Amino acid sequence: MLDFKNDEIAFTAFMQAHQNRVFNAVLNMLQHVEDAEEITQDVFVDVYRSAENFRGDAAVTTWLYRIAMNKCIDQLRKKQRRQKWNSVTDFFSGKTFGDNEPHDFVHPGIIAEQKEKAALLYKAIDQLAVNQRMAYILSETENLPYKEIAEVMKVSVSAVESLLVRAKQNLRKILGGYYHGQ
Amino acid sequence: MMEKEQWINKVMGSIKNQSPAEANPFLHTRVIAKLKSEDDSKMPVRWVFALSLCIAVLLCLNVVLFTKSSAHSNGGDGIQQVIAEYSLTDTDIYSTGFSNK
Repeated sequence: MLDFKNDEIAFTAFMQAHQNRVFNAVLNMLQHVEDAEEITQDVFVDVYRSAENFRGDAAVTTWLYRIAMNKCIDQLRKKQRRQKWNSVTDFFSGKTFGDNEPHDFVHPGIIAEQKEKAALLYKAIDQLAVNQRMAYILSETENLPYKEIAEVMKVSVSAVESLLVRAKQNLRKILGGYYHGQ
Repeated sequence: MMEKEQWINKVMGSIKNQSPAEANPFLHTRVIAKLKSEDDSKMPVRWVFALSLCIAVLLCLNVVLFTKSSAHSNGGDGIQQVIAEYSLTDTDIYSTGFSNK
């Protein structure tokens, strides 16, 4: 059992050990640096508060990923609601649709020669359903095994497999639309 | 067609093996500040209880006063007394008593 309320040094050490992992997963999910920083902070605030509820049934990283992914889902839903509202207000103010679309995102850890391709892939990932997106990010960028992804998402391993198959099929379809010949 | 498939495969592999980005160096400080500010902004339970008790007492007083005042109302006896005293039997308030005839 974890107890950070009476041990601030342990909490600092825990944060140092896991902050980059959480930040990268959140950043890949949200594709927005400022939002990812904010959500990472919220994840560790939750970790501090609910550490005593961690019973050790799953690995600490699984528990951390679960908190982080739940926060990401909330943030993505908030973003979707904001986009819907913006499209309504744009309609009445006479702006063209798409003025509020985010700029292309590329993870800062991607090497220079891959940046252009990665930007297209992130754009395609942004169009996936949330659960496919989560399974894909946890598998491809976080390199988690299917079993751990299943534990994070609270689904069966076969559900993870089918989510990944569908995510990859959808990504190929979307990317096919971006291809203009090389 | 083959070229397209190859291109898609390359794009699909472009985010694999990315080096991890560094989290904000002030993350820990910000988390601690957030925890502290949320603790400070919370009202102590004792104060919440005292405030709700005050509101409940005020509401009860209001109800008691309202029921008492409606029970003791005498159906306009006061105004009848004034009418009788000043002989105000004419209810036509627009009449001036002045006539051109």
